[in-house]
Amino acid sequence: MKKSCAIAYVTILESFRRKDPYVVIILGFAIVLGAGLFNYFGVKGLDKFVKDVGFTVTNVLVIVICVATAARQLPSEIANRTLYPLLAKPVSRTAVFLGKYLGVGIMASAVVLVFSVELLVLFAVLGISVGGVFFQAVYLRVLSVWFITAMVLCLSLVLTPGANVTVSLLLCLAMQTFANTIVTVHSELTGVSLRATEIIYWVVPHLELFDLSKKVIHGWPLVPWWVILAMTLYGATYSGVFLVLGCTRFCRIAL
Amino acid sequence: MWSKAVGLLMMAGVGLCAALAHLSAPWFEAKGDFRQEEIEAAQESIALSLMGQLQLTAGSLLWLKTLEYLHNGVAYRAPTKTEEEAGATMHESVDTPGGLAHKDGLPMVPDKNRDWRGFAGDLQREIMPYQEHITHSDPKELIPWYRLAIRLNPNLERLYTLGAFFLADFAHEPDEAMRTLEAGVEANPWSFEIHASLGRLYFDYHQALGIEPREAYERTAALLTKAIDLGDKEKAALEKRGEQLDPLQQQLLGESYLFLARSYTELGRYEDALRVCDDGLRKTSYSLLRVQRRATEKAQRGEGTGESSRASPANTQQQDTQPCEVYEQPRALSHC
Repeated sequence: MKKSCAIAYVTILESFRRKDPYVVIILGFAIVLGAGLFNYFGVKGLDKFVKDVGFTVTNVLVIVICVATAARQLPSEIANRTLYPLLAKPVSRTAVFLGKYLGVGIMASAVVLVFSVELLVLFAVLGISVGGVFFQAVYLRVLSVWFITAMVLCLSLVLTPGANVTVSLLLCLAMQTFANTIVTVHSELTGVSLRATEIIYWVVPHLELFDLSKKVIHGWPLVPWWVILAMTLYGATYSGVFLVLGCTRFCRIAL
Repeated sequence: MWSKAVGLLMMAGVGLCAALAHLSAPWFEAKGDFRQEEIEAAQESIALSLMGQLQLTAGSLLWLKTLEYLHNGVAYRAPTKTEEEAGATMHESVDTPGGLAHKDGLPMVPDKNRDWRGFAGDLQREIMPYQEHITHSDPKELIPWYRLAIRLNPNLERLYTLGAFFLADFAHEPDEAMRTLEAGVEANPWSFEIHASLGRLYFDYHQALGIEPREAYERTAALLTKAIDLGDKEKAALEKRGEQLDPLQQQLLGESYLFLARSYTELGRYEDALRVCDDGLRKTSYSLLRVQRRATEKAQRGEGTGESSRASPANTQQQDTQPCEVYEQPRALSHC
């Protein structure tokens, strides 16, 4: 664990050297500047609209940053041959994989938190109130980036970086939308197609369940804590599955 | 030092570009009066067609967003064939703000009694906005989406009329509503719906707009005369194709005759008002025109034109439909 933490620390340092935080800050600044857009509409009291635009933009940016950061970790280490001196030390491949996961997970969580603080500042400046559900939404968003990181790191061992980014972004989009489609068409299906659809529904992870933004936007009350607990277990399970698959693959891959 | 200088130069360059773009914008402004060959070239351009389609799709998506806002974030859908056979139907909305009468469908997140997912369904009902009994939000929140949708599809007439209705009646900003409708008239000079709505706005809100009553009635009369002319043409064109105006358009046309007659009555042009009532009754069978005819005759005899004697959908219950139904959501959205 200590070795994984050290690798995670190095991963974060490397990100700072690549000036990634500047990207986050600039993007966040762009979101705040986007508030100027609301003056264009000229109607006061459009709290929901401001929250909607803010949440939509930050959610998309968080996923893109998370996928792009996770996808380059292992392939760049292999391509630059910096992985070999690391593995020459008494560090297992599992520790390296977990260290990378930890590092990217912390960075992605930090991005979520930075964007959330920026949104809070924006809302405060515009006099928009957010309830406690905002913080629940941030927590679930943090959970989702740990899960996405595990998936992308796992895929980075079987796909090229470019393909991984594309496939991962498409998967994130599909995981947000396919559930509603299945639920809608379920009553129309019979036989094999019904069974196949149900299997897909239960096996494929549901990213949409980590998204409380609509509840924040429309001012809904707090969700029950058992839901947060259930989602924590759900996220941890799927992250664990992808980590096991990734570690297994990384340990067997010929370098 | 050099890096700072380059940075400053780049910032100055960006500022210069922005100033140049602002100054040169009028030179590149697209004019509506395209030549025939330009229109034909645009029709043959695949890129333009795709971009246009993308723009319309984005506009439609924004319009759908308004439904989500109206239902406090809860998404609804039309029932499937099997669900309809099982008794799940769309029903008229209740507790709907004026002008937003529509049919409510089934929630995207199914009710507990028709959910096959057990605990997963319970979880989704807690995470996604979900309510057993449909409630509606303040339509004022829909305004920015209408404005965005207008930017993307400036030729969808009802975006202007609905947006203006919310601005005037809910946001209490009739001057903004007026600007929206005026922009609509400019972008869609053939639209009888926008002309009719602008005429109504002048009639109903002239005090708030700071327009003298006489001037307001004259403007209303001019706009509604044009609206009726355009509406008749549209009706004739549709009938030629074996179609007819939709119920909203029919009511709007009838109300255009009514408010034109009212404007003429207010202006003391009683003969014109009576002629409009007769024309309107013959062409639209809008029953309130009979009431207005009696009110105009009364005024002509010098018996005053008090509020009670005026025919208005707002103070008369003779019409089956409610006043604001003229602004009812287009039927295309009735599956929300």
